[in-house]
Amino acid sequence: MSDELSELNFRQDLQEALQAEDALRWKIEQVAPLGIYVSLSPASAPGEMFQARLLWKIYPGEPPSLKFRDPATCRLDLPTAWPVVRGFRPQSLDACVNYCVEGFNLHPEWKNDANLKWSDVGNRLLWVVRRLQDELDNHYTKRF
Amino acid sequence: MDTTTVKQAPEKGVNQGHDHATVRVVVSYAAAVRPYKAEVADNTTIGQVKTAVLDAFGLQETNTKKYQLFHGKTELSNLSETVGQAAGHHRELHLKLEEVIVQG
Repeated sequence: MSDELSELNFRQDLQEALQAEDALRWKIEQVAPLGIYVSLSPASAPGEMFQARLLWKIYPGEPPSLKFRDPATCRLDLPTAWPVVRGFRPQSLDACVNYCVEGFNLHPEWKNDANLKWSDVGNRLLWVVRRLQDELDNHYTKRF
Repeated sequence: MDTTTVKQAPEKGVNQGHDHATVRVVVSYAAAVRPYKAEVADNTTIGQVKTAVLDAFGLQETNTKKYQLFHGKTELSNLSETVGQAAGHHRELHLKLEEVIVQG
């Protein structure tokens, strides 16, 4: 997939995602041709805000890189910017889940598992943001 | 993906009409901007709903790629269960369609 096609797909899905009803819960900023910052809070801790950076190399054909950014310092290398939820490894600054590229790097076998491999069906940007929100709403315990 | 089905025509043999109350079914899928919505007879099975939902979202199950319907945190694995049974005394049933997610 060409960069141009990726960017076209990404722009279209970003615009759609912003129209979703639940988008009112998020602040989404496009920060790269294939990248966003999205601010989210757990339902149980609305005062806690986490800012995820989702950055694709190819959209929607590959999973995005997932990092959390400290809004005060703009740093992406602070474990304290990460929430404690299933599969996240703040000390390693990565997440072992099958919706980010870091997870697939940790588990290359997922790429060959038809059930677990990345799917490019539907609005993948929205899908990943909703996965993050779902994780925060249902499995958040604390900030690291 | 825009998937809003307000009223579905009943499938042959599924809804014989007048004898059954209806249930409003709303199914959200994380990769779709809008949920699937349909008014169906309460004797419609979860399997029939799942088929209609996959079709509406443009998804296909294969031997190795499955989708699951959830009512809250409960997977609706019995596809013969009816919408009326799943909804209980409610006239609206909110479900989620999920892909397989793992946390390593």
